[in-house]
Amino acid sequence: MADEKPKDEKPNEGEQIVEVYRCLDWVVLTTDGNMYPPGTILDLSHLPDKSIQRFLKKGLYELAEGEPANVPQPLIGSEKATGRKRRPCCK
Amino acid sequence: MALPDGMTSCAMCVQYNTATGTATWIDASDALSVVEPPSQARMTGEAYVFGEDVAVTGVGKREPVEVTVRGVFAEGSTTAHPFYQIYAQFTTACGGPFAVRWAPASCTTDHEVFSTNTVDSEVVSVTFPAGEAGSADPIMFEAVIRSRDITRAVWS
Repeated sequence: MADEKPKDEKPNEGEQIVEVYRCLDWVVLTTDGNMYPPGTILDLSHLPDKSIQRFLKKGLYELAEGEPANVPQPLIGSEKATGRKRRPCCK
Repeated sequence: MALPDGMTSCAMCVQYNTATGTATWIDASDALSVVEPPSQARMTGEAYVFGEDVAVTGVGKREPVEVTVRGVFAEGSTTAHPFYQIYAQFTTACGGPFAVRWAPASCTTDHEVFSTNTVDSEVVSVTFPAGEAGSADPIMFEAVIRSRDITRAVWS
């Protein structure tokens, strides 16, 4: 596609790269305590990389693309609303 | 194969919520003392024919599950103690939602949690606190939560 961005594109200043993951089984997040069914896209930035790698290895998660369900929608006009960018996969 | 680590319920945690769906879970570990191991069964059936000595067996759908929780009674308001939350949901017309989940090894990353269905769980029985003159045991209460199933999840 013509408008597809290259994979190694660096984020603009102020943009935050957050990898998101799709859970492949039911999970409960320690951050909000909610239970999420398989297929839900989640932001696991609260976990250390080591834990994420272990969960990936166990098959509990896979890398995904999309908006995570566990991040509250930022308020329109807030700093977060304009400064957040997600690049979920494709390393 | 290595011998598995034995687990105890020393650090088990129990939580409940009183709203449908993935609502706020409230920790009740300081009030509840027992979650009786629930079991869920499948419907089974059989028929016999004249020509054979054994049954023709059938297996059907999963039956509902009932989880019994027991706790130490304490007087308080509706927000202070799970007994009052349980009682409030029990006395709600047609039964208010009450889901319970428990993590045998603790509510921390990597550990597993088992939960009654968050859409369809109700209190169907309450045993009220009572006493006995010749006992020094703490006063307990008990409740039975009926649910369509139990979900296993992992804390992460």
